[in-house]
Amino acid sequence: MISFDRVWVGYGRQLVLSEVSFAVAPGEFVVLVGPNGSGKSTLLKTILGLIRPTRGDVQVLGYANREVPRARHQIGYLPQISQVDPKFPVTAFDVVLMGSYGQLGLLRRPGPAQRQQAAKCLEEVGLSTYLSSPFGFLSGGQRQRVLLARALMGSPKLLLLDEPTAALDVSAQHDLVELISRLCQERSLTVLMVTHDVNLIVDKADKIGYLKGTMLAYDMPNKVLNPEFLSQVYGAKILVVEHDGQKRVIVGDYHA
Amino acid sequence: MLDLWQYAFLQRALISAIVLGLTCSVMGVFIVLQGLSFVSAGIAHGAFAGVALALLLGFNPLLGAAGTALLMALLIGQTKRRGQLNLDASIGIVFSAALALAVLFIGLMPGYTADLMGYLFGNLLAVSTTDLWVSIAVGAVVLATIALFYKEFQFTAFDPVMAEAAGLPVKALFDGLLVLVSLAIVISLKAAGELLVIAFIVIPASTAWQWSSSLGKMILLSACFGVSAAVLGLVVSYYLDIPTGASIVLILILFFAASSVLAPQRRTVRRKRGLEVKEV
Repeated sequence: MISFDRVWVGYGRQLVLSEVSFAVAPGEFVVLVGPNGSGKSTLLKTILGLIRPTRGDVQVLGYANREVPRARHQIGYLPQISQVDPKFPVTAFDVVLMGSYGQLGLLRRPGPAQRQQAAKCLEEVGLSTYLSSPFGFLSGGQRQRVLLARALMGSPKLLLLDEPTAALDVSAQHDLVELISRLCQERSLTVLMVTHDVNLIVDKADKIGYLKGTMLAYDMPNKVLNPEFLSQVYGAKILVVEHDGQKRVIVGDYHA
Repeated sequence: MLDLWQYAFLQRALISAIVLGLTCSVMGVFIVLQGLSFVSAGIAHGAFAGVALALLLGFNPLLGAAGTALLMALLIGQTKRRGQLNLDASIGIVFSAALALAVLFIGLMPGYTADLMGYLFGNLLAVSTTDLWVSIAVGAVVLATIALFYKEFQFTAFDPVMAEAAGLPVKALFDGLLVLVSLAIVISLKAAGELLVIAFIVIPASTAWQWSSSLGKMILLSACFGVSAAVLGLVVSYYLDIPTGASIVLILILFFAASSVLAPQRRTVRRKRGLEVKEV
């Protein structure tokens, strides 16, 4: 589904990713964790073909290197919510409909088929009664679900999620993760999610990767949830504890 | 009121006001939503420098305005892409350069520069038949382009990163938007003037935004505010014998002030009533 082989990416002279290698198999739920500025969003943009690597080989959905942008129509992308202006005059339905614009191409208007699909996607994320609600009037969690519905338009095979739970309260974070997990199972989607908070998804992930300019580790959760290693990545004291059979990461000093 | 429209120059002024009000206010929606109001000011200053250059060298001022406005639009687009400076800082630099050149060209002009002052403050009553037809033709091109690329402009204004990820030509659309603004400014220059055309672009859209929950509604309201202010401003200026441009802008300001007071209450009421539901 996705394959990076010693990939280097940068903006002009500024190097962001170096020697990144990993692979995502069809149907996997992969989570990439890393501190701010570790190159997580850049990696997603490389998969989308928005940035071209300076070195290395990238394959996405069967398209290699320069051909990677051709895979875009099979990818659903949920960007960071901070990049959209909630005051923009647009309804929840309009936002979801935008998910069809790429496949429609220039000048073609969305028709009944796209409108029905948009309504269905909103229903899937539990917002069928909010079709004509202004985007700015929705809560943070609801806005993120609208953007998730937009990512699902066009029936993607691969879902890329960029910090989907950032700026949400704990309850909304939990609800969104559960929703994403359920939708991915129902639609047999492959998911690559980047996040700060490994605890939210530790029991959902098939693989976890640690990114800090390069891929420091990439394996199954039980193998990579190592406190010494995590402390090194984040530059802070980190403990890994087990509660009710699930591993949890705790940052800072811990007193029993 | 009827006797007002028996004069040909007033008929031309009325049609010109409607065309400019409509073109600039619809265009302004995409400018205001993307926080590009300062860009329109920069392009308008560039257009004025072009008029000064044309009058100095003795060629058609509209051609001069179009040339420098488009050059300004391309420079701004290029600056945004390179991303070495904030967009507003780079527009400020280009904006100052255009104004300095305009002042320089005016300084080099021998004698009285009444023609140039007309382009600075505008004069709807001096619009010729040729000016009017040029405005109608260019205005139609601008509005038709916006209608054709409505969904693309909507998507890139709302979420440019996602629009690019979906495969839309975001850079070309941004440059295209700047070219459309340049054209709208150039056709408005003689009638509205360099200083007032910015008001025509920014104020109706900003007023409409306060009432709008969808882009279509915002465009419709912006067009209504722009056209009605243009017509009302012309009528008021005729009866009170005051400058037309100033009259139009003051009416636009009045619309904006009234909306600032009234619109938020309406939003609160809507929130209290709960979110409406519409069938697709």
